[in-house]
Amino acid sequence: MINWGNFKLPSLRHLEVMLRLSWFNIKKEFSLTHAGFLWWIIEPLILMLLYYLLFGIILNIQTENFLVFILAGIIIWRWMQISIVQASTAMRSYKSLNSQFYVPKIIFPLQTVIINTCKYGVALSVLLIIVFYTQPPNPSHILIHVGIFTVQLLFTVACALLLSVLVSFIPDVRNILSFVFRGLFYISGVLFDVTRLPEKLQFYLQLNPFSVLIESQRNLLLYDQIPSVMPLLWILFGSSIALLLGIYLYNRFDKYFAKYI
Amino acid sequence: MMKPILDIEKVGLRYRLTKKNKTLFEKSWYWALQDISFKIYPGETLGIIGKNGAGKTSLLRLLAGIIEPDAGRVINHGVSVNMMGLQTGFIGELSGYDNIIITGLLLGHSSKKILEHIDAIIDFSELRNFIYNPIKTYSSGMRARLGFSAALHNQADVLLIDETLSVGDAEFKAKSLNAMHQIMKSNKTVVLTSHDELIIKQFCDRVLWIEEGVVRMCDKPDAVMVAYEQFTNELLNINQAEEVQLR
Repeated sequence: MINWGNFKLPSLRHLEVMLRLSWFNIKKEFSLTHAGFLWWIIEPLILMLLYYLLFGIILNIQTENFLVFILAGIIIWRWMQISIVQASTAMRSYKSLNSQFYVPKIIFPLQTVIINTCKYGVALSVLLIIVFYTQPPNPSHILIHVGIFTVQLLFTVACALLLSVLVSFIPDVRNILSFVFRGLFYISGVLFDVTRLPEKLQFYLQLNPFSVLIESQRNLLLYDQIPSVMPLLWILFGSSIALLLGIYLYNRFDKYFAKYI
Repeated sequence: MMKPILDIEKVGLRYRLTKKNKTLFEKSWYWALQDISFKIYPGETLGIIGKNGAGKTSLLRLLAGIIEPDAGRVINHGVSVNMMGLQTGFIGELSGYDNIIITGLLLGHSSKKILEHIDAIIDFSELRNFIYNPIKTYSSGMRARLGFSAALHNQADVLLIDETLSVGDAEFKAKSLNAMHQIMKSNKTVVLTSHDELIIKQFCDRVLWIEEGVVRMCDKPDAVMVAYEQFTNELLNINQAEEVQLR
């Protein structure tokens, strides 16, 4: 039974703390290197070239417009993956703050998602500029873009919350996560087109939300293909429930985390 | 009779122990605090004494609402509570400046109000341009200075001071003691823990003595300090006697 007393969202004041914390962390990240902000653009481009070299040239995989195809995949994948992985240990880095002040712990994983969403926004605009030259996007599909983005964001936040709770109880999960994501990277169609695989295999890959989310957005962006609605709706539904559960768990264990982390 | 602003009723706090021989789901508990009851009245200065690990810091964290008791309850009659301790509650990666803003917001101040006070905080801490460097590059003295200045300028109703009065060089110590005098004169309520007998006698109206998680005594400073000294001396004697026997 859900106790509604345990189901509150952070107050406006704490949301402000969350936003400031995100901004301060971004500022810090920029100040650490000479290129600063530019790394947000350089990083996906380097990865794109690397994978192109490996898969496009050495392994000779033929996909139309392979460079842009890889770039789109990498940008979307990294947004979700890094958000979730960083969120899973976010609370621990604020041990000292938590020992002296009351902070709703939920803002720590959320803050990492905010930072990575900003990163994603920058990388995506670079991609859009490139895409614009090859195939101008259809402006009437803007609502579908927004829809897919919403589902992606909900899914990422839900995973970030649930996994970070899990990691704080069972730290070993953090170690397993890095293997899981490495595996997921290869079966989520970041570097290849899922629809080219045998149909039986495709069905199983469609069960992987990462694969569906990457494919839907990439096909819409690059080929102006409207995605099938049902898989996205299922992900939306599952993510919403997981998100509610995540918020509940964070409220339920808020003071417990303060004691042990 | 004055009304208390914080009520501590039969409070207990436990921590989970991890034992090597136990399985994952078996639990064993260590009660850091047991059946603690006292009240805090507006404007008073309450000292908390007890040896290391007696549960003083845990008690302050309960008062600040950072953690919740596992037994009994802490009733806050609508006051804001700010805790300052040796850990100072800073984010090491961020600059002192950014940290002041974050902690100010957490204490319920608007960013506008924080920016009004921020120069005074930086001045008092004497950190000057260091304020834009990450906290992790600070010395422990610098950190304590910033923590003390920030806590001083954050106008909470109740100030909890965890052994921070004896930090910093002689000059800053004098300055902070002076500032403490100002606070005592004003109507602010202060709860402080310290091992420094002089500080306890100088500042406190009442002293609470905790030993192994229970209240041993709660009274005027003179009475408690005499008993406390007697107790620690006895402990010392016992230890020395044991040492002699061992030889």
